[in-house]
Amino acid sequence: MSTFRTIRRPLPLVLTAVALFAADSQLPRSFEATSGTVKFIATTNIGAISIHGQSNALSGRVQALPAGGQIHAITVDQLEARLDPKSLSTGMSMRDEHMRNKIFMVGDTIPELKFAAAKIQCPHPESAKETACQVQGTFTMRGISKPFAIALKVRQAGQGAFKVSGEGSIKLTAFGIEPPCQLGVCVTDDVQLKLEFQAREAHQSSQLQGGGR
Amino acid sequence: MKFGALILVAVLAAMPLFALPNMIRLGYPNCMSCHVTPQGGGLLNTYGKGIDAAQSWRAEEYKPSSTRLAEFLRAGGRVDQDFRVVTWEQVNAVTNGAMTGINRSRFFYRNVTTLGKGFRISAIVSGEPDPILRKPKAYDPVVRPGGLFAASAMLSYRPKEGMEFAAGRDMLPQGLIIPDQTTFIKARNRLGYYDVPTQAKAIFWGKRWLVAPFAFAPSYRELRPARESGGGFMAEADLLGKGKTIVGINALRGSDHLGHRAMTGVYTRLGFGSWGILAEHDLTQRHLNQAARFAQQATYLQTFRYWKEWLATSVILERLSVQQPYSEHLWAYKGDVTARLSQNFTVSLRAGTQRDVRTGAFNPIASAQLTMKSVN
Repeated sequence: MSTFRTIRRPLPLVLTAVALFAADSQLPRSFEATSGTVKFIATTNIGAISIHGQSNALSGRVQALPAGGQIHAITVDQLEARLDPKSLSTGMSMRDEHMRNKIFMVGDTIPELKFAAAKIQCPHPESAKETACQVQGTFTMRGISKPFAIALKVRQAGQGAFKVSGEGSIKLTAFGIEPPCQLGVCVTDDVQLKLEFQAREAHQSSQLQGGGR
Repeated sequence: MKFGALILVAVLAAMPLFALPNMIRLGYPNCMSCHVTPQGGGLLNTYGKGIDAAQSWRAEEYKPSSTRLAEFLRAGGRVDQDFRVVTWEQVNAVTNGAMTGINRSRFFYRNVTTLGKGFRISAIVSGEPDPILRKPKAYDPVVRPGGLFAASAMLSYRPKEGMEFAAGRDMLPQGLIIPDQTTFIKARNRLGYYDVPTQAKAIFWGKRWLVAPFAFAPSYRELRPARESGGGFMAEADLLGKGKTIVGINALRGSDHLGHRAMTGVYTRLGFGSWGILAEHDLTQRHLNQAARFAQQATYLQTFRYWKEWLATSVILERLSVQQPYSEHLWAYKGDVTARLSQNFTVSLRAGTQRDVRTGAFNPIASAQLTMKSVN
C-alpha cells in the first residue's frame, strides 16, 4: 500500500513524499520540505582545487505514515527527490556551463536528477537529538539509474518539523560520464553530495492523497 | 600638507599585479591553484588564465594563442611570459589645501621559464618614469629603485607536489597578497612593491595547510642603513576544510644597521558565497641602536562583494598606531569598485580618506586605474 503521489512543481528540486513521522497517529500526515540546499564537492588532480557547487532550490513534500505502533520509529514509505541540474551553481558561470555540457547533458536535453527510495524505517529523533538513518535507493542521472546510499541525519525542529541532512557520494563513470578536464585540471571520479532541508507538517495531508495531477 | 603628501605617495604605489585572495569566496584556499608560484603573484598558470578569462565581463574561454609567433615565444611550452601596463589618474586633496591631479604609468614584463626536472626560473621586471616611493621614516629609509626594477628573480625547484624550494630576489611570503601595496600592514612592515630582499625559502603545502619558512638578506638596492637580514615563516590552515576559512600567522625577525625588528601577525581569509573578508593584525616591535624601543600595530580589514563575477566592490578599514618617540595614530577608510572587462583589461575606481587622530586632519583621495596585459 502506498499513499504516495508525486507532486510536480516548477521548482528545480522536488522532494516528494518523504515519510518522516513519529507513529503517534494512525492517519497519514504530510510534510513539506523548504529552504533546503543540495551541495556537491568534486576534488581534482590538483590538491588545492576542488569544485564546490550548490543549489538552494530544494523544496518538496513529506508523506507520513503510521508505523505499526512503533512509537520510537519513523517510517519512510516512499521518498522521491528531483533536481534540475541547471539550478546547480559553482559560483562561476562558465564553469557551470562546462558542468552542464560535460556532466548532465544528453543530446540536446538535460534530464533531471532523481533519487527514489521506499520502505525505510529510522529511529525517531528524541527532542533536540539527532538520529541517523541509512537510506538505500536509486539515483538517476542522465537517465541512468544506479543504486545509491545516503546517510541521513534527522532532528526534530519544533512541533511537527524535522531537520534532515545527508551525505553520500557517486561515481561519475557509473553514469557513463568521463570525468571532465579543463586546462589541465581534471575532476576525480568520486563526487560527494550533501543535502539539507527542513520538513514541516503541511496543512492537509489529503491534498497529497486526493489532489495533485 | 604633510599628511596629504603621505597619502599621495601611498596610493600611487598601489599595483594590481598580485593574486587576488578574494578567490577564497569560490573555495580557492591559496594562490597555487592559479599561479605558477605557490606564493602567488606573477604569472598565472594555464588554469589560472582560464579562470581569469572566465570571470571577466566578456566571460571568455581561454585558448592559448596558436599563432607562429606565440608558438615561438612559448619555446615548446617551456616559456610563459606576458607584458602588462598599469596607468592611473589620481586626485588628491589636503585639508585646507589645493587639489592636485597626477597621471602615472608603469609597465611589467613577467617571465617563467621551465628548465625541467622540477626547476624553473622566473622574473618580473618593471619600468616607470618616476619611482613611486612611500614616505621614509627615520627607522625605515625607503628603497630607491631606478627606472627599471627587478621585482622578482628566482630559481625554484619543486621536487614533487607539496614542496618547493626557491632562492633569489622576491617579496617575502605573506598572508594577504593584496594588490594595494600601500596598506599599513605592508608599507609599514617593509612588504611593499620595492621591498624584494635576497632570500631563500621553502614552501610546503597540503590540502588544508601551507608553511613557508624563509631567510633573507639585503638586495643591495636598499639604502645602506636599511640593509636588513633575518628570517621568519608564515603558516596557514584551512579550518573547515572547504577552502573558505583560512587562518594564518606571519612572523619575521630582522636586523639592519639601525636596529632590530620583530613582526608577528595573524590573518584570515574568509569566503561566503559572493562575500568575503580579508583581515590582518600585525604587531611590530622595534629596537633601534640609539636605545629607542617602540611598538607598531597595523590592522587591515576588508569586506568585499562580487555583484557579478567581473564586478566587485570593497570597503576597507585600516588602523596604524606607532608608539613614542615616532608616535603616529592613523585611520584609513577606503572603498573601491573593480571591473574586469576582459582578460586583457581591468578598470578600478577608488576613493577614501585618511584621518590623523592626533591632528584631526582628513585627507581625501580618489583614483582611477586601468590595467592592460597581454595574454598568450
